Order: sequence, then C-alpha cells, then structure tokens
Amino acid sequence: MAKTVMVVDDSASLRQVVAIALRGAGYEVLEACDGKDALSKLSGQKIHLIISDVNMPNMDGITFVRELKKNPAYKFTPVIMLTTESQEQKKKEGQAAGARAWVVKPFQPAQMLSAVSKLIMP
Amino acid sequence: MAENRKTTGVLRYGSTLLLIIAVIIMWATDQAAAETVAALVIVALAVFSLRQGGASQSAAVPAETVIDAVSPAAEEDGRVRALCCEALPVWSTHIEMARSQTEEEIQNLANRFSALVQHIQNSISRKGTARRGDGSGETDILSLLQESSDGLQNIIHSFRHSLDLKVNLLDEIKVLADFTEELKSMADDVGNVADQTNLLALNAAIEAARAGEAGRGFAVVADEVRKLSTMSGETGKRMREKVESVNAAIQKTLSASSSYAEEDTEMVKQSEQVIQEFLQRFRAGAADMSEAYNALQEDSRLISDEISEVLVSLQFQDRTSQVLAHVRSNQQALLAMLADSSVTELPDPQQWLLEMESGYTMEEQKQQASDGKAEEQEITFF
Repeated sequence: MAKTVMVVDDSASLRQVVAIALRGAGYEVLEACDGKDALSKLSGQKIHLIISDVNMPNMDGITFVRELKKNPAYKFTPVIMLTTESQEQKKKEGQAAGARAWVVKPFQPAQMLSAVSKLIMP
Repeated sequence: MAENRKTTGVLRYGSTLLLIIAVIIMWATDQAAAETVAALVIVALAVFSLRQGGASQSAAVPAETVIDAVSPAAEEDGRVRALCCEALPVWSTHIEMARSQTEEEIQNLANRFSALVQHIQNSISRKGTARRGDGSGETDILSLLQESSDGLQNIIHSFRHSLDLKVNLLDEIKVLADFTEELKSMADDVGNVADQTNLLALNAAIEAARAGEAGRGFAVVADEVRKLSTMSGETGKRMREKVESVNAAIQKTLSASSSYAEEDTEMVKQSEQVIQEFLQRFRAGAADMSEAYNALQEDSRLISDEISEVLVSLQFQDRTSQVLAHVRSNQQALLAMLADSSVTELPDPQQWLLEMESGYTMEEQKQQASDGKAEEQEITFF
C-alpha cells in the first residue's frame, strides 16, 4: 500500500512540484495551504511523513509542527521543513519544534525523495 | 541642508527599490508590468537627478543664498513626497498583479506538466503488454508470442495425431480387404463342394434306377441331395457375389481414404509451413517491438532526468514570489514613512538597508546584499 505524504505550502505551484516528485516515486500526496489547513485536514488519518514550508499565512510551519506534536497520533510522524529560510536560528527553532530535516529551496527531487524514504518508517 | 540630505536619502531608497523591482519583474513577469515599472524608474531617476543638481547648486552658492533657496527646495521635497505617495501604491499593485499572474501561470504549467508526466508513465507501463482475448488480464507481448506459438504447435500436433489415426484406419481396412479375399475363396469352396455333391447325387440316382424297385427309396434320397447341392451351389454363388460387392466397396473406400490421407498430409505440411512463417514474422515483429520498448525505456529515463531539472526550475516561482513580497513590504514601509507628515528626520540609508536585510530569508538575498554569490544548499538532518 502506498505511503501518504502531506505537503504544506502556501504556494500552489510549489505544492504541485513536490507532489509530482512524490507521486512519481509512488507516494500518495495530501496537500494543505498552511499550518491551520493542514491541522484541519489531518483528522486522525494515517500520514507517514509531512513536508512543510516555514513562512506561511494563518499558521507558520514552526507553529504547525509544535501543534502537530501535541497530537499523540502524529507525535512520531517525521516532518521535513522545506523553505527558502536558511538562518541557523530558524533551523534550531524547527529542530526544537520536532522537525527531522531542513531542506532549503530549490531542492533536487532525488535528494528530497532520498530524505523522504530515509525518514519514513519501513 | 539637513532637509536636502533627507530628501536625497529618500530618493536613493526609492530608486534602489525601483531598480530591484524593475529587474525582478523583467526577469519573472509579463512585459507590460515591467515596462510600467521601468517608466516609473526613469521618472524617479529624473527627479533624483534634478534634485541632485539642485543640491549641488545649493552647495556651490554662499550661505546667505542657501537661506534664500530653502523655500523652493522644501517645495520640491514636498512634490517628490507627493509623487512617491502616488506612485508607490501603483507600483505595489503592479508588483502584486505580476506576482499573482506568475503564480497562476506557473501553477497551470505545473498542472499540465503533472498530467504530461502521468500520461508518459501510463504509456510506458502499457507498452509491451497486450490484452488477452479471453479477458483474463494483460500479458507482455513476448509471453503472448510464446503462448500463441505453443497453441499453434498444439494444433499441428493434433492434425498429425488425427492423420496417424487415419493411416491406422486404412491399415485396418486393408486387413479387412484381405479377409474378403479369403471369404471369396471360401465361397468358391462352397460352390465346388455343391458341384461335387450334385455330381454325387446324380451318380446315386443312376445307381438307384439300376437297382430297380429296391433302389426307389434311395432314388428319392439322391434327388433330395441333388436339390440341396443345387441350393448350396447357389448359396455359394451368392456368397461370392456379396463378398465381391463388399470387396469392391472396401477397395473404393480404401482408395478414397488413401487419397484423403495424402491430401491431409499435404495440408498439415502446408499448415505447418504457414504457421512457421507466421511465427517467424511475428518473432521478428516482436523483436522490433522489444527493441522499440527498450529504446522507449531509455528515453523515459532521460525524460525522468529532465523532469528532475524542470522540477528544480519550477521552484523559481516560490522564490520570486517571496522576493516580490519583500520588495512590496519594504515599498509599503517607505510609503507609510513618506505619507507620515510627523516624520521629519528620515533614517540613515545604511540603517534602512540593514533593516531590509533583516527580513531576507533566502541565502541569495543575503549574498546579493554582500558579494552577490549564493552558496549551494543541502539537506540538514536533525
């Protein structure tokens, strides 16, 4: 059965780009336009990994990961932060919130897929 | 003089921002918006040059004259402020329009690209397969060829088996024909025995007549024996006729069957030849298809590599959008400051640039602000 990856980004084109790469590798993709939208779409369903932007309207990526980790169902769901943000301070905030990896855009699809398969539980 | 510096600083910020906007929009958006911004940049630079010229002239005249010239300069500053307050919202709107249009078009492009990728993948997965005629699913073309070949070979085998059965049957009929020869001989024997018996009965009748009254009874017996021998002779004759009829029918059947068997043998031989030629052509076609399929797979790998590159390229929209959002934000901050009549002392340009820089998120923006060269990013695992 295909693994499900949620992509959270306010840029629809970026979501589409990530989705193309993931679907090409056999993953199912669930999209959300910001942290708030992502939390509302989770609703207990099985998500194997989340890829989230940092700077988003309504709820930013760091806050989203903090909120996500409060939910026991997603406490151990790996999160990759995918962002243009490269400040070390931001990375530390992401790590502290519970993110497992930090990818700076633009990403190489092969590199991203490698990180996804590495973080998704077998 | 302080007022002059302040206005000059404002114009520097404005011009810098306008130049950044023009470059970004020309790079990433439609031509119309870029031309609009470029025109506004020219106007701003013209005002800036005019103001600079005025400032130079003011610096060249004696102090007393400067006091007299303050009034026109202040008036000019006011016009510049008013111009910026009018122009900045327009630029801001154009930037947002360009950003949203680019976002929309890139999204459409990504959607179409996604559909194209899916289409290619479906085509590749379908190549080299064929639907089974019995609806039991799909198989690859080479397996189908092998199955067809096996099926046709089985048909030829069945033909050969049937032909063998016919030959066996002919052999049996030939044996039967031999039996009819024996029957004919036996019928002849019956006829001979009847003739001998008839002759014997005739002799007996003669001897009975010679015996006179004493041989009268024997003459009756001899006559009955003669009648029986006559009947036996006729029976033997009918038997021979029937056996000859049967033998003729068997010979006719044997001849026809032999002819059919020869025709069948020839037909099987020709069928086998046609099937072999057909399979040979089919194998050649399948080999061509297999070669084309391998080439297609190689092409798909190349396309996959290209897709990876395109995916990287398509991400420029997200980055461009963020740059434009920062420019717009800084523009609005500048507009708010210019529109605020209570602000009499504008900040130091370096301080302003530092504040702009603090809002940068991308490494390119930071590097652009320093040496213009961005470093390649990698994934950081925690």
